[in-house]
Amino acid sequence: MAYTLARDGDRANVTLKGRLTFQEQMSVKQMIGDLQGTGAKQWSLDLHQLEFMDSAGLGLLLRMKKAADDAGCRLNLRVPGEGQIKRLMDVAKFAELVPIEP
Amino acid sequence: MKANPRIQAYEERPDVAVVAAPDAACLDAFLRPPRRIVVEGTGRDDPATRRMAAVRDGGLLLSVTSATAFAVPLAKAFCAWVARWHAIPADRLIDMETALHEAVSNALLHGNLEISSTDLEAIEDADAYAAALKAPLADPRLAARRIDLEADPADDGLTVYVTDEGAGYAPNAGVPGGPHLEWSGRGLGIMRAHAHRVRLLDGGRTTALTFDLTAVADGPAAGAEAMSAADVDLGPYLEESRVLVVDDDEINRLIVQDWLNGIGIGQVDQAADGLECLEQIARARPSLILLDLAMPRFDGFQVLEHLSAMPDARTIPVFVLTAWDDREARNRALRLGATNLISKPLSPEVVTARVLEVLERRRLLDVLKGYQERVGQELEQARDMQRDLVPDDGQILTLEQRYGCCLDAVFRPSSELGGDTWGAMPLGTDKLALFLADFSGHGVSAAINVFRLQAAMEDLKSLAPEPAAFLEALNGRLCRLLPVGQFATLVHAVVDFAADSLTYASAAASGILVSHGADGAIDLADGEGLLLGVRSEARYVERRLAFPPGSSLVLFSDALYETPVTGGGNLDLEGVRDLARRDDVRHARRPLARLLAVFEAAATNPPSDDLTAVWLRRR
Repeated sequence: MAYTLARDGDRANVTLKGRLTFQEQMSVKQMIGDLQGTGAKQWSLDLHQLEFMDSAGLGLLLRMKKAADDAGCRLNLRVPGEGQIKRLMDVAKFAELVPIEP
Repeated sequence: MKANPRIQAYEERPDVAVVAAPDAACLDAFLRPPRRIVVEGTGRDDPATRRMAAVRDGGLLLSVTSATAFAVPLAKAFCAWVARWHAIPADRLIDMETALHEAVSNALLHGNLEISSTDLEAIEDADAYAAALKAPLADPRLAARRIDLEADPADDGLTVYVTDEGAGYAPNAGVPGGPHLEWSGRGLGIMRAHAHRVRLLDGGRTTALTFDLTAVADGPAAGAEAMSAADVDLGPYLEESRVLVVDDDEINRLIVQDWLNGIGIGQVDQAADGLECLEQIARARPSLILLDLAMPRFDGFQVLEHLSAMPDARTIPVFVLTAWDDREARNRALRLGATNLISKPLSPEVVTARVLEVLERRRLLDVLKGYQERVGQELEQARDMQRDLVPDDGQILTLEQRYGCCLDAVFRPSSELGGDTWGAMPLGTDKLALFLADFSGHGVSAAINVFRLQAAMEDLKSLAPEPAAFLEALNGRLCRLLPVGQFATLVHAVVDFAADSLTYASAAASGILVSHGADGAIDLADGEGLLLGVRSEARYVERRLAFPPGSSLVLFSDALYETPVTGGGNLDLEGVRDLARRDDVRHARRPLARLLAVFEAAATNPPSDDLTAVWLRRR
């Protein structure tokens, strides 16, 4: 999985590409580090370019939420309107855990 | 240290000492900081002291006569001195000693004492060796010739210059193409093998050996530093080790045996020739063989050939001992399976260091293998425990008979330990609960969570007939136990055989298929719900469906629908549903087994995740 990080005022935008699965723990750790480093208070994660995410990927997102909470930042997800990832998040009612925007 | 009349130290220069006819002990005492210059001489007026002027900044100089160089282990003493001034990794130090030993031998024998290489090669043993040197050493002119060792730290490493006062030397002079550093009979091969760079200067009177101290050893040596012998307690291992020394010279064998006993090797066997060597190996298998190459009758090469043909002996490491620095001979030995080469004349430091190195490595490998086996066994045990949690064939049969249904299940963890589990809980004559849980991740932590869940379910059993309440209580427990990022998906379903109903609650479990009656089409059921173990206030929805005779309930983990299939993409939930709708699957006596057979045929690879599924079909 690869990601790009862009600063937009008080907001840090991260775009994920590839597959978000159990193996991506280190990438996510690094991503959290980078986000904390920006000092931005709003973290926005765009999942539109992810090919695939499994339940382990959900776990990694939960860890990101905790990291954001600990840093006093707000995390939100941008999720495609349909497809495997949307389904996964719907069945897990993930929007109740991490705010989701289209 | 009491004042020694032989030693004249300069008061104004504590870094200089002039010593008359030093012996080994004397050198050892003086080759220490703050001394940078130690010159053998009669006094401060000795012309030899003029050499001091040319010493480079930060360098060290040791200047002795040939007589002293013959009597004292010069290379060893000098390297010890260098190591007291500069940090030198242990294995680099051994390389330095080995290369320097060759250079000093050259300087002494071929340089100062003018013994030719051919004369030297004709020498058969230690006595002949001593005799050959006796005559030139008796000549005061030759005996007084000096050997200077100078150490010069530079950016690219440490360079040691060995200078003699002989006639000079040009390797392969007269060979078309000019002189070049090749086979020469002067141990140049050995020097090149142990030094970063070798140069001949000043008409061959100075050999410059450069040692790269800055390079990071990323081979076995670095690994050995990270886990030292002390960590692994080599002592008892050495005591149990057996080393076989093969050399036709009895004195050599005894000397080496002595060295090996000195470092704690418990058993040293001896063989005088190749035949005895093979006999010894057959009698008692050694951990290591030290093999002299040049032996009469059955020489070292033949022994190596025989060893590589013997399946048992082939893996025993063999160090070949050779006075030859004939590169071809050395390469041949290596090609025939020699593990490493040690040059003669042997020094105890080099031999013992190399022996310890290989035995230490073996010991580490044994420890690692032992650990792997032990962990493997423990994982096996844990895997069995996990399997025990899940209903076995006998229990399944009992349930089938009791409730009048077909119960087909599969439980396949992807690695030794998995994060999946399923279970069946009889709730009286008419009710049976089925559940399937899938913990995030796999391996040890997921397996631990599985045990936690089963224990919590046992505790909260009384709530099992009420799926939503059951899930909420389980969730409360798990939220307290699980770290952030770990969670489970869980579906818990209660089949009521009297009321013909199915009541279930789901925590984000997508793998649920239900059909109503024998002719009803099987379809995906809604599994929406918060992940289990994340939010303690989670509330779960209880859903109720008709479940008359002939109905089927299929619960399955995500390995089934997230595994890639030929034609691209994953099977997906709809794909599983379609497989379950196939006539050959839904009418099969063992519908799940049939579905999996079709699934496996379509999957590009075996699932990388734990695969758990259960199919209940009412009669």
